[in-house]
Amino acid sequence: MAKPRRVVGLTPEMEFREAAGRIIATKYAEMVRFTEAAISGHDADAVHDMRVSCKRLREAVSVLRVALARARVRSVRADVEALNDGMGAVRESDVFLQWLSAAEPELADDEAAVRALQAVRQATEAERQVQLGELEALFADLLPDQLEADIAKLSGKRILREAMSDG
Amino acid sequence: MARASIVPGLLPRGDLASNARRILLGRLADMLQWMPHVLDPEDRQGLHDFRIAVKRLRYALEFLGRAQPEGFDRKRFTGAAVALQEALGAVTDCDAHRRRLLAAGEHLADDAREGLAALVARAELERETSYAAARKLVFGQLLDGVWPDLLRALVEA
Repeated sequence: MAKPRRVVGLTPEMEFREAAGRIIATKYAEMVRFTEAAISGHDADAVHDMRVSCKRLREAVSVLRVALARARVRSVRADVEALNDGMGAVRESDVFLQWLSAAEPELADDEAAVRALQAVRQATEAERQVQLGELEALFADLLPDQLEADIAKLSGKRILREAMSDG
Repeated sequence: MARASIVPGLLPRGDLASNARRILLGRLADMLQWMPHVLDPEDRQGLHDFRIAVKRLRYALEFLGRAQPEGFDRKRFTGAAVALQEALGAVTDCDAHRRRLLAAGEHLADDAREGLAALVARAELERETSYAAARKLVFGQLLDGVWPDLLRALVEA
């Protein structure tokens, strides 16, 4: 799992509002760096890493919302939730496919079980393709313009720019 | 999914450290509230909600733990939350596999459906092992005192 990116410039004494902006910008930057790899279709780890980063962003927006511009929070939360759901569907298929692969050698002597496993795998792979297509459409819809513009309004453009160029 | 509690008393113009402390206390309280659900292996929704509460605490520790005074053992607390989330995740993953297998059974041809029981049995066996490990970890962490220590660190700061 991807390590969380450290939020640069936080101090215990700083104003909560300013810290909230820095945290949101950093979590957004952490998430979007996986975008390309995640929709490539071949990188299950990237989907997982991007989804974890998305959950971090979601939690940050949720818990820090009192310190953020209310109107923008609503829109960001909806977008982040949609991204999380889209990635979650692909990720759950990936985890299931990995589990089926791990189970296969143990069931090799059971012909009926192998037949069932192969049929389930085939159906899950087809389902994953559909989910990936939906995720790609979602990314095209939300990333980077819409969500990034809203994040910039929450954090301040300069702070977002710094977060995007960091690391 | 269980909703997170609203953290009362946050002040946008206040300092980060004291607001962060309130948030972490709120997330810790949420997690402790769900912890007893680990006693019932059949309480699948409760175990799921417990895991979500652990995850929320973990993320809050990740991005707010550094705002606590020197001596706050962020690595220990975060590490404990990560371990707990993973252990509970292994249980809920098995639940998800079982659900998917049973759902798949409705669409399989007869010859493929016959073998599904072996797969379901494997998921159930794996769940038993994962559940036992998660429960042991919860008790181990309680005995180790990691959560009372986090509470103390937040209250006494």
